[in-house]
Amino acid sequence: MLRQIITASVPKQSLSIGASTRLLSTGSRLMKPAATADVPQYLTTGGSTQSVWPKGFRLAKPKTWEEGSESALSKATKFFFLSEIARGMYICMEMYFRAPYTIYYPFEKGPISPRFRGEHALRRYPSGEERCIACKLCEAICPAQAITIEAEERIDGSRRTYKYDIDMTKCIYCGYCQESCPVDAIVESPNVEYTTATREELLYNKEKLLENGDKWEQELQYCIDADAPYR
Amino acid sequence: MYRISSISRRLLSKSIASPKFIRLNSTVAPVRKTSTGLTKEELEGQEVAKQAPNRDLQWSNSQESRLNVITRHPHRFVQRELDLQPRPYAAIELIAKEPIRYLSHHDGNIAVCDGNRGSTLQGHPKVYINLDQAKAHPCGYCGLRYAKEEFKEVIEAQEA
Repeated sequence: MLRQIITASVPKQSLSIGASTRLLSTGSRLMKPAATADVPQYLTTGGSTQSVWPKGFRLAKPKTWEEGSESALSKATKFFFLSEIARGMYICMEMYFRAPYTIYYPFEKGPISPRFRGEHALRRYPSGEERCIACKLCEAICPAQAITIEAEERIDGSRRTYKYDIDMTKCIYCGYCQESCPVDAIVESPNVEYTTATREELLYNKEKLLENGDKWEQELQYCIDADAPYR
Repeated sequence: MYRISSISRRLLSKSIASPKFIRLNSTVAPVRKTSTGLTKEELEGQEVAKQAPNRDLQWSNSQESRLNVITRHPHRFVQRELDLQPRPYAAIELIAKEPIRYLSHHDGNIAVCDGNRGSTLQGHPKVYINLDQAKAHPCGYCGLRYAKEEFKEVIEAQEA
């Protein structure tokens, strides 16, 4: 009886015993693509089973007092026993015993994806040689035209850049430079904490980018390893 | 007082890095080593003016030396610690230390370099390098040098 009172706002067809009934707010509802159930709804989504709404994603419009078939006695019971208030208080209490969402930012950091695109860096080979061979693909693909490269034969005869500038104020962090690089030289590191006092400091040159690469090589390697199965 | 300020303003408009300006200022306040106001002569022997920790001079013809950058654009280094400016290791010196890979007769006359792509997924496109000439052949991507074993004496004699 109590259960019927409490779950009375759930649409009537789902009141039947099953996984979809929800008692108070204990346990999250299983978000499962509807196409995996016996209902063949996938034909409406262009053949993709992934773009189907999970079952119960859209709640039905709540019935108004004149549309509902609820008896006056049931309504009065809900009203006098303050069932909606009780449900709200229960959710409050549940949140009270959960772990807080707050993190102490400079000391704790939230998780980020291994594909996160932050500050740029130029990487080296394990021998110490720069990876960048001045193919200028990143310069060509950069939609913000933030990259400037000048290439010249180095004294020992290898083809390298003598100028590799990124205007970090122009950069839109799309990651195309990283994608276009054939030797994984220019990468976007997970670092986001590089605020500067002046604008000039955001005009990165090759020295700054190479130093970033030396500083962040271990983190970059973690990211590459974490992402390797999907590449 | 008025005369000094007018002179300094005139010099400022002409050239901020002229030695005359420095001398005039040095009578007012001592020259600080961490900011602007250092002349080329003062900077020349210092560690911060060297191109890289492992190399003194630049490694490309069009590359501007750090000494020139600091002395010609002093306004860029106002209140900046010159020691803290990025100065990574010069790759030209690091790759020169890498020993030449000698291929024995059994390996043939073509070296294959893929930048160790197989184990790390982070190499470069695979290149095949013909080693018929009696010299060290650097890989165009990663700079590792390859040569045939039979040319070892010739190459080592050239390098020495």
